Amino acid sequence: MLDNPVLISVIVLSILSLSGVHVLFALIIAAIVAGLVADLSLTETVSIFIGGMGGQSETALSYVLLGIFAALIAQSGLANILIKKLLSFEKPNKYSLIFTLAIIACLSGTLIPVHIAFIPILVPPLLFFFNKLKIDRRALASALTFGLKMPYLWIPIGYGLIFQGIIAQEMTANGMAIMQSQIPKAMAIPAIGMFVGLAIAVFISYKKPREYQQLDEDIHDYENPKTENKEAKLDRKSWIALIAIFAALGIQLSLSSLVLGSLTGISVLCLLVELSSLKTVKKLYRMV
Amino acid sequence: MFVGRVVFLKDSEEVVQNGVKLMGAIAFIMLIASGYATILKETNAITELVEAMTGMTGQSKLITAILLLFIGLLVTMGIGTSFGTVPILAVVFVPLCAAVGFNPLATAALIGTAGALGDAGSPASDSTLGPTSGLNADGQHSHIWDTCVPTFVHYNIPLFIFGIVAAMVL
Repeated sequence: MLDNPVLISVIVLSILSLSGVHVLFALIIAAIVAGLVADLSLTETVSIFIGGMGGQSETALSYVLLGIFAALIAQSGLANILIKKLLSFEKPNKYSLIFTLAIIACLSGTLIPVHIAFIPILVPPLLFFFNKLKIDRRALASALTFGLKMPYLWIPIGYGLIFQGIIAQEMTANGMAIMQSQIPKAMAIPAIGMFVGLAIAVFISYKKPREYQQLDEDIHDYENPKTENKEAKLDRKSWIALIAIFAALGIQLSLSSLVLGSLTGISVLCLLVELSSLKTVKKLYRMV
Repeated sequence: MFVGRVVFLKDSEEVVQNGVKLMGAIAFIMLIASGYATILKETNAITELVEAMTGMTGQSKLITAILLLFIGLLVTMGIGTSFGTVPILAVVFVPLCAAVGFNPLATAALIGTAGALGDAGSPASDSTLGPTSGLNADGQHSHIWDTCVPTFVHYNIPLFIFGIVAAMVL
């Protein structure tokens, strides 16, 4: 058992990651070690490795498209409005922000199954805020991971329904019949463990303020009292961005494809921006 | 209009660059993690690991529970998905749990927790890569030290303890 490729390569992966090797290389090295320990030749290992990469090609493409969509939205200025809205509240509470993020993450796996797609769109514009409140980002990471994980263990909606279906199905197939409706009862205690972990992370481990560098342009944009509250209304470009987000969400949910969803978002945004900047359309618009 | 088009094209180059900067690394890590998982599966290393356990547990419920969760942790960290771990573990561990005397509820808690373990804290799972992709947008958040290690400690330890408690009391 001690010479098992899984055991050895996971240990290699952990040691390399912890000692500062980028996870990209840590994974490649762990994969090669696993192949060699399992008595494959180096060339065999690499060819199986490369063949296996295709297994996640859909995820990879959807993430890149999602990143481009997020970059487009960032350009639209929608984020600035969100931040100004938040600034206009009296004093944003650190814990309410952390737990709101955890709840949104919980929704992303259940009622609105977009998985991690909301993170690159929602979180970067909020960094300014997190910095200002000196929130330790490790607390935020814990909140997000909690929200991505706890619901599928316990709540039989969205990914949870799939996960619990697999457990019931596999148990029954291997000789121990169980109803899927009983799984939430079985998983309740482990799920409570996750709540405990979240509470420890937020209220004990990462409670202390942590300083982050505020990027210059951000300070310029938002901390200038003259510009504050001036443009807190949605302009045309932000409306277009909002429409694009809902179009992407609609397509992603109805066709359950993040690739098609992101593509829709990108095309709707580009088309509408292009159209709305054409002079003829502007004229038409005024006439109407 | 011609001028507008040129600006648009120039913008699109920048937008794609920014988008790849935000999500390109995580996309590639998912690809590489998939290649790694394929090696573990095709060499039968995972099945061997799971089967190696059967002789070690004896008749003790507690030791069976601890070993099952530990194997779940390793396998999930290796293949990077809780969902994929469950079928692999179920083949060997469901009969084993029955033999040691766990009832179906306790077995479900163990198999489910074993699948869940290792997802939080694994450097290659989307439960950690997702949060990093947002929090590191300005380059001030380390994937390993600010996402993986904190979530590993805060979720895997409670899951381990509560998983064993669930198996013993259900």
